[in-house]
Amino acid sequence: MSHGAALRLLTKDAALADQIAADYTKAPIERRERAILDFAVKVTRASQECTEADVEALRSAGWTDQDVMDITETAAMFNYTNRLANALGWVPNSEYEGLGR
Amino acid sequence: MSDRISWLRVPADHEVPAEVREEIWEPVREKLGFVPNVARIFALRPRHLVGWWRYYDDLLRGESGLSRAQREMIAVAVSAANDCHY
Repeated sequence: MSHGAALRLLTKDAALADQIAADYTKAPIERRERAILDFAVKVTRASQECTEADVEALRSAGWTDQDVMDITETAAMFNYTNRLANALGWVPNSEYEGLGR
Repeated sequence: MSDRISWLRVPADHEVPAEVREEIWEPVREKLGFVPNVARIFALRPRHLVGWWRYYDDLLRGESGLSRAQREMIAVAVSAANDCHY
């Protein structure tokens, strides 16, 4: 919820943030952004299945190795915080709901 | 208990070290108008909160080939995949 709010504020596009949350594969984003999310979700669901071909897909979408590092660290960061939040019953501030809407 | 924000004890404001309040709570309150619950909950382990916050802030807002919005897109897609509603 808090990141939906952050994305709405950054893009001024509430529908886009909602669509990425519901199903990012149907969101109207650029090909290079789709490549980021495909990788981030694979890191989330099945990191042990990642191969060098996945890194190559990011390179061919235009991302540098340094960018790939940032993408992977960011995906890993949210897996970390999501696990803390899910495991310990963290509740976001209700203020996020209205932000950017 | 609908106002609970964590299954663990949440530290009272006066227990939270000045470093946390000055480096994290005050700037974020100035920007958002409120202190995010994560910054209250995580203050149970203040040193971990400060270390995490600095890394998180650099990852999400520091220099990168990704825009800030692109980094938040990762947050939204990963959180959805983990069914995390925070």
